[in-house]
Amino acid sequence: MYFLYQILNFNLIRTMQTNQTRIMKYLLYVTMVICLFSCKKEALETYQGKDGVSFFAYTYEQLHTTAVKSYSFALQSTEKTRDTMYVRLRITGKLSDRPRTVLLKTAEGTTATAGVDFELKEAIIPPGVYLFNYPVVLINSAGMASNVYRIVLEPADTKDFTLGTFGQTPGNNEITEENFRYLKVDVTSQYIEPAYWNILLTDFGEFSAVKYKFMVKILGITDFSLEKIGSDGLLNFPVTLRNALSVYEAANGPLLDEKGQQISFP
Amino acid sequence: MHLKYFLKLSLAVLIMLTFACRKDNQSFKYEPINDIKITDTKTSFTLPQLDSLIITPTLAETLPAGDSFTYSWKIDSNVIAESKNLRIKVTLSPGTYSIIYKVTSNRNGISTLQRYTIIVTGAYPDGWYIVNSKDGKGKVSLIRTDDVIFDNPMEVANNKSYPGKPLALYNFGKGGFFYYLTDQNAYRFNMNDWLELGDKSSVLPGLATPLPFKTTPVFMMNTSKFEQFIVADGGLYVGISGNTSDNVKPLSQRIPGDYDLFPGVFPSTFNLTYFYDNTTMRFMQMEILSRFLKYAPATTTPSDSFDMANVGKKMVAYDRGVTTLGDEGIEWYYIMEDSAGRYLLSITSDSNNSATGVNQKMENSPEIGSATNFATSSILKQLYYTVDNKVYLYDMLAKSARLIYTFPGSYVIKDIEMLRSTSKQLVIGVNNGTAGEVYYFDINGQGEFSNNTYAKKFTGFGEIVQVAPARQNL
Repeated sequence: MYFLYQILNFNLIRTMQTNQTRIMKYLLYVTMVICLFSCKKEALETYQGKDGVSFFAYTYEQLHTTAVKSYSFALQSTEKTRDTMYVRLRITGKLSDRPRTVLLKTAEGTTATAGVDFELKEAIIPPGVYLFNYPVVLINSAGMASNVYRIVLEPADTKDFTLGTFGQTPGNNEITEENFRYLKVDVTSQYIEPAYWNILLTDFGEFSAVKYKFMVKILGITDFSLEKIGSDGLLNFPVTLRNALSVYEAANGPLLDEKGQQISFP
Repeated sequence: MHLKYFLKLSLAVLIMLTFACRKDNQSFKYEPINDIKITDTKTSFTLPQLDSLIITPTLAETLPAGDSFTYSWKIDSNVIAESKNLRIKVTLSPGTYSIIYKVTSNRNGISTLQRYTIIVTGAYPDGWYIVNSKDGKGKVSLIRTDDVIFDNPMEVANNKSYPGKPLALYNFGKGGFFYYLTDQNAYRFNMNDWLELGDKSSVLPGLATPLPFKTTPVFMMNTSKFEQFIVADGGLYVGISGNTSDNVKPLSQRIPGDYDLFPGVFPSTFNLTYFYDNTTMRFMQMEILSRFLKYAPATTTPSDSFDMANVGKKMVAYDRGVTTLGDEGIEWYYIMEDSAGRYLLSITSDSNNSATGVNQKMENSPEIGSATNFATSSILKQLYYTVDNKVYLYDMLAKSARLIYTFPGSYVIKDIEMLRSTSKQLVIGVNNGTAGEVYYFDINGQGEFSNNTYAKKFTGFGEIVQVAPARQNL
């Protein structure tokens, strides 16, 4: 009796096991299939193509639109035959772990003569760098004594770069940044009004070559941009200049500028 | 064959699925740990810079046997000590700081934290500067509010000598600095620790006429604390100021112009500061961010008590009347003089407007023509003036003065200053020959000295040149 019970029980268990195994088997199939295909590494979309280069500036500088970078050999602290002006470039595309070559060329609107008034040479961007100061060599040519020459710059194709992408991007502290194609540079050896003079206008008055030379002589500096002279210089330097001017006028009479106007601060 | 492996694998998965989640029998074993508590009741400390900060925390442990601890004291994330008790010299700038004390059990790594608040005041935060000179050399002593006297903190803090005859000292609490001007140099100091911030090369660079000033200069900031002025030898020097010593910029050269200012600066509205030209005997003014000194316009409406553009008297002295710490309202009193006598005039200003105030001849006032020092009350219509060793109280409503105190005959009063925050203490610096003494007088409700005598007396100074309030910068 006990033996029969054992056999029946065994069979019952076997039958149950067989059914269970089958169900589990299917379940397992499904699970494995799901396991195999549920998580798939997504390929990251990366920029494909040749890396680019463009001019870089903050939007408020307006260098991409109306503003012109200006340089005068007359406004330098010492007499120079050549000087280097650095213009900011930004790389678009991938960073590189090797040095790369960048070059600027002139575009339509250029009145300066390459090799006479300026030189543009290939420059090496160090590895891992995405912002770069490109050296534009300016030459104090004879023509600059009576002319203001314009150089319109544009990135040129090199073996490493093509034209970059342009447009605005949000920068740090909500200061919008800009990539752009053309940069205008005015170069001369005349006393031209520096771009920063609009900030000085209220406290120093209208620009003139004579006034500028007087300022250099009295204050002993040649760069009067706000970054250099500070807010205290903006307010206090005109006091020094007014004092010096009254000493000059007491000895020599009024100081006249190149247009015959009397100099004042303001 | 495959099916066999497959079944085995399935079985394994099944077992794992079956046993993966088991009901927790919730039978935890608890072991008592040493519970540490920091039971200090005093968790806030106020102390002057450069003093010692000592904190000895009391630790309560539930199972002290066999436990040891690691300690750390942190300000921000900087560990300043790793001992049970804290004992440091405070070199922090004035301000409020949190110190976190952490006690960690070495047995089980459990930590207990306690936060302490530390308020650091300046080393020499408040009191009275006594500019004095001994044997021809100037120094500035400080009588701190707790009556502790520092003989020459300037030299102690900077470990250097400051030669020269002292001319004047001026501070203005909001700027966090003070100027000390001698006949050889002009210095700027941090008013909290008295560390030197600069001398004439940075304070007054590029002067057309080199230092020293010949007469006692005055210094003051404008109402909005954005600009600072020095009037010296009749000339005006202006610079950008700021809320801390860090934004103070150099002063300009002498503002050009044909003027000879009385040594006084009178901040008016937020945008305007007045000066007084003793040559033309009229007020002058400078607007904020301007470096042009102009004549003040005429004040000739019926409500005006005098014409600022035509005062016609020489200025002799000035002091503040009603003033608020925020300087929303300012009243300036002026002592003027002409051949007929002396006069009291005033101008009041708020942040936007100014107006002429009193204009009265100081009659029935003994020796008023010889008075050299003046101090006005900010709560009563009264002013104090001194002649030699005598102190007089002038009542603006009664237009008369009376003698209220006399120092011994050999004493000469050099300077008097009202404690502006209350107008209930008059500080008088007197010289007995070359020995200087300072007296505090408490002022009663009638403006007289309480008990007709001084409340405190400080001796041991050199010959006093000036008494100046040290306004707290916190």
